[in-house]
Amino acid sequence: MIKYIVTRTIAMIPTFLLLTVFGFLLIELPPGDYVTSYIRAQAAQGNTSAADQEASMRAQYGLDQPIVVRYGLWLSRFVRGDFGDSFEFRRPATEIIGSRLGVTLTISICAFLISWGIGIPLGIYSATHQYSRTDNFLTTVTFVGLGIPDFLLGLLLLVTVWMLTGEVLTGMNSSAYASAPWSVGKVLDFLKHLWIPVTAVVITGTAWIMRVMRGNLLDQLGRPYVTALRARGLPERVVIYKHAVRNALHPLVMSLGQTLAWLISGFTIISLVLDLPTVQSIYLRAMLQQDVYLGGTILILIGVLILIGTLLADILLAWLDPRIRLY
Amino acid sequence: MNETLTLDAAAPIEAEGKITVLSVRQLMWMRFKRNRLAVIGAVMLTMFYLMALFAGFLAPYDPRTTHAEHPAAPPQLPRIVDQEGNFHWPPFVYATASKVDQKTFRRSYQPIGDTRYPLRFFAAAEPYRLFGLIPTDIHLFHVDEPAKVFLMGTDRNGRDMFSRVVYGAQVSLTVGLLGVTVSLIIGTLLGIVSGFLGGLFDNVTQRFIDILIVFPLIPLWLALATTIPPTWNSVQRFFAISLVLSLVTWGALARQVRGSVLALRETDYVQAARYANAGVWHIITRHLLPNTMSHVLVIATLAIPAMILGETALSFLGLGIQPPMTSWGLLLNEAQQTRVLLQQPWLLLPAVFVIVAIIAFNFIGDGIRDAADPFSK
Amino acid sequence: MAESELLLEVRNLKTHFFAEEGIVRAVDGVDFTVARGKTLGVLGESGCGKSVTGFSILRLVQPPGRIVAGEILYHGLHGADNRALDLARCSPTSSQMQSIRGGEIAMIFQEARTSLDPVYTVGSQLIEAIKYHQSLRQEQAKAWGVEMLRRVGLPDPEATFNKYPHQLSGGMCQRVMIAIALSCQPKLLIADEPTTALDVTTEAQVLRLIKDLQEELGMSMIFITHNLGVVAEMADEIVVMYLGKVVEQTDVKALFEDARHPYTQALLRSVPQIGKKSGERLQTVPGSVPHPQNIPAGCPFHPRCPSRMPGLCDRKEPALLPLSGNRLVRCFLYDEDALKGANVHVANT
Repeated sequence: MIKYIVTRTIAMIPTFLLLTVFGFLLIELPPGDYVTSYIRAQAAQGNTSAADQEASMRAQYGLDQPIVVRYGLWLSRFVRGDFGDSFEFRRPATEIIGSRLGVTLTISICAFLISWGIGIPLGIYSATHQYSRTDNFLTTVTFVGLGIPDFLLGLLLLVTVWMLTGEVLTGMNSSAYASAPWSVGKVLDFLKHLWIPVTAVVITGTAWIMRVMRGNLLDQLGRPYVTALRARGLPERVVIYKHAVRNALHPLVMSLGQTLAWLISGFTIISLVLDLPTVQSIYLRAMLQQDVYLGGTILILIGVLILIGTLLADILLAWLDPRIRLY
Repeated sequence: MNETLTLDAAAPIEAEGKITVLSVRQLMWMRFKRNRLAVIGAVMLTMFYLMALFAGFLAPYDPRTTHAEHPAAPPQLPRIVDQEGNFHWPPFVYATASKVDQKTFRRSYQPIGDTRYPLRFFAAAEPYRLFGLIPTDIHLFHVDEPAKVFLMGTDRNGRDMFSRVVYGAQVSLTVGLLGVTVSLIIGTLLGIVSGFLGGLFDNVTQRFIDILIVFPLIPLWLALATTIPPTWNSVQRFFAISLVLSLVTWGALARQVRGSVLALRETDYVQAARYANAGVWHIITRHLLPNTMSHVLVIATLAIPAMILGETALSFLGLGIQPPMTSWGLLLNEAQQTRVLLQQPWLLLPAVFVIVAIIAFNFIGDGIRDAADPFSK
Repeated sequence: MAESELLLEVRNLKTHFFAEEGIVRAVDGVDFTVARGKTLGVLGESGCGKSVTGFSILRLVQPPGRIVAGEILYHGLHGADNRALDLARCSPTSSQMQSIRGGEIAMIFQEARTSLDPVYTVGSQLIEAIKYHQSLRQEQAKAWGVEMLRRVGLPDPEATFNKYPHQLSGGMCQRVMIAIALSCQPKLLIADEPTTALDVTTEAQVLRLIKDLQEELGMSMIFITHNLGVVAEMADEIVVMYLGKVVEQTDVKALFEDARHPYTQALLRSVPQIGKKSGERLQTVPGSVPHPQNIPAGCPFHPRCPSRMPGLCDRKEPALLPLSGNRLVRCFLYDEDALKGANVHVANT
């Protein structure tokens, strides 16, 4: 087992390098660089003197070096844990990401737990009552849930709440609590804001997980071993829960691996729409502003989480499924 | 459970018997037709594509025309009952004028006078080119000035939202198809090449696809969309966006095709074709492609809704389609500001079209998936 | 046959599938009886409804299929009134049906490996089945399970007990299936082509094993197969099925010496025989089994029948006729009345 984990980890290194190249190129590909967009922004505000600083700014940020050198420099610092500073905020990228991790994970973990918690039982119900009225209803709801982009759901909820109460629940805290220390009132206020993004994400997420679970379970229920178990006189609930559901969960374990990265990369657009202080909204901003180190760090962080998630999922699956041999 | 399977687990003879009764394609079509949701989806999509095709005819106004007197007008449905309660046909509208409340700065529209302006069907109005070719000025419906017909209201520049949605369909509904076509080409080629060549090329490609398949789409799309030069015009941008969107599927497609190539390469009939000195190209086009087509078709269909969603998301963020082109996502872009949205909730109406289109594609994709493999469950 | 010797009687069983494309009459009026301690062979080509018959007895037919008519009388229960239980009237999910499945009537399947849950060990699946039918403690159930594995001739039963299905060969999996099926000492075993997926040597071993265990336990068996050689070896009585109907019923000796139905005759001609002239071509049954939704009118076999009588076979459906020697056949060739009444020209046989 340990040998397997070690070899798998080593095998991840080339993939990781490929990922960094990929990530770096993505950041470098947009025409212009941070200085260009900085000068453009300054000029828009009527500050033309910024144009004179162009060359010195480039040198300051190392932007005058050839691309391969920049990649090398960036990577050598990257692996040492120095992910560079954000141009815009003039603070280390890690610090900015770290300060937003709390809110991001609160939303995503809540949404994840709720959608899996609801989606899996509903999927099981749907599959075991295939073509029943409830199944047809759930299937239709699923289609609608998958059809509505989560950011539109967020907007809809926002408008609905505004029409009903007159409150605009963007962000994670009302202005009154924005800089206040944590207190019961602030927590309640936080929860009041939290439910909108969580609900929006949960609806799409539940629909997805329900559909996957239903499909997997139907697939399992059609297999010969299920008939064989029934032929042995086992009660239906044992056949379904102990055997078929157990087998149907395996494909979900693989998607659990992707969930790790999803925690900081899902609901990107909701974050923008609802003005949430999350990693996603800062990523979006960094991408638009060509804030290379910040955007790149987040992008590669997502990639690394995918690699780790996949590894964890593989290990979990190997532990769950006797057919998978580790070595 | 399928009757074939239930009758006998080992039913090769029967499967053959079935083919003689109906061809696989007929069987697929039959099963597709039986799927009620898939048929509903197909009908809805046909209507949507007809709408896109006849956009100029359906839209009462040019999508770029600004009605300066009517900014941010709410939707106004034609009426059939007038202010005195009398019934009229054809439906009519009243001319309206806006008034800005001096305290709240909110704009409201009131009818001016009680002159009825009936809808004129097949009326001549602004000229346009049908299918982009035939110059004409016939619109499905129109009203005489100074009255206006804004079925879905106007944006803050006074452009008719309905007309913009109808024209937007042209972009939103084709960008996914284009994306799928691109991904079909890339995916199939890459899959075949990697399946046939194997070795280092296959290894590197598969590693790359490993990441691509599991990478969250939105961040990736965002990163790629920022790489499109801002100097490109909106048509170039349209193609660039569909290229970006094609990323959703070509990894999965390439993997599917590669898998089939690897499996089929060893089958007796491909071996036989090889020994018969058939060329590689012949083997690929005659034997490998037809056998993977149903899987490829399913992956491709199910990817279209994701692409429509992607276009909506990117344009919504201002990274997708650019004016003067318009798309549903771009229309929603105006609804992005919460303050604007709170005052003009009708700006969210294009979302209904996005949602319906995605659901319809999902219905069809599901129907095709179930129908594609008539011998399995 | 005396009442007391009967274990199972199937009367006019009809199991239909209400599929999207139409109704499939998979089993369409099947009658047979199974005597205690004897083996009934059910013979037929793929798709003739023989497996569905087996599933119907255990009430394992899933929607859209269901039993639409007929009786499945089980005489194995010693109830107070000693009456037979009609399984066709039991609810498939009732506790009574659950105790019959596995406890009274067990079933083994063609694909042994896929008929075992891949994520549990062989042993846990054995214990699970045992504990549902017998009130045994864990250790007792385990000891009994190992004993069963030993009895089906698996080497090192303790080790096998802790193995997963994928770690065993196809033949071993089938032995495990048999061990599970017989662990609760059923009175009837339904064997649905248990050796089709095995190679010839293993097949012979498994057949021997089934036969030995049957004698040891004194059970009855319904042996479903398309293989004439296997049925000759295993069965006492044979029913031949074609498109959901029994076309001939007889004892095994008579079937091979003097088959009456043209379909049975054709099947027999398609088997290679020692002593036949080399160079003589092996015959096949002409044509193929029609699609179950496309069953021909009249006698369903008439389009493939060498002795068909136009004007009769394509119009009317023959009934199951009793012939001498306790045998039944469904063919107009033996129906004097129909032959006279129709006055048809008999094609050269």
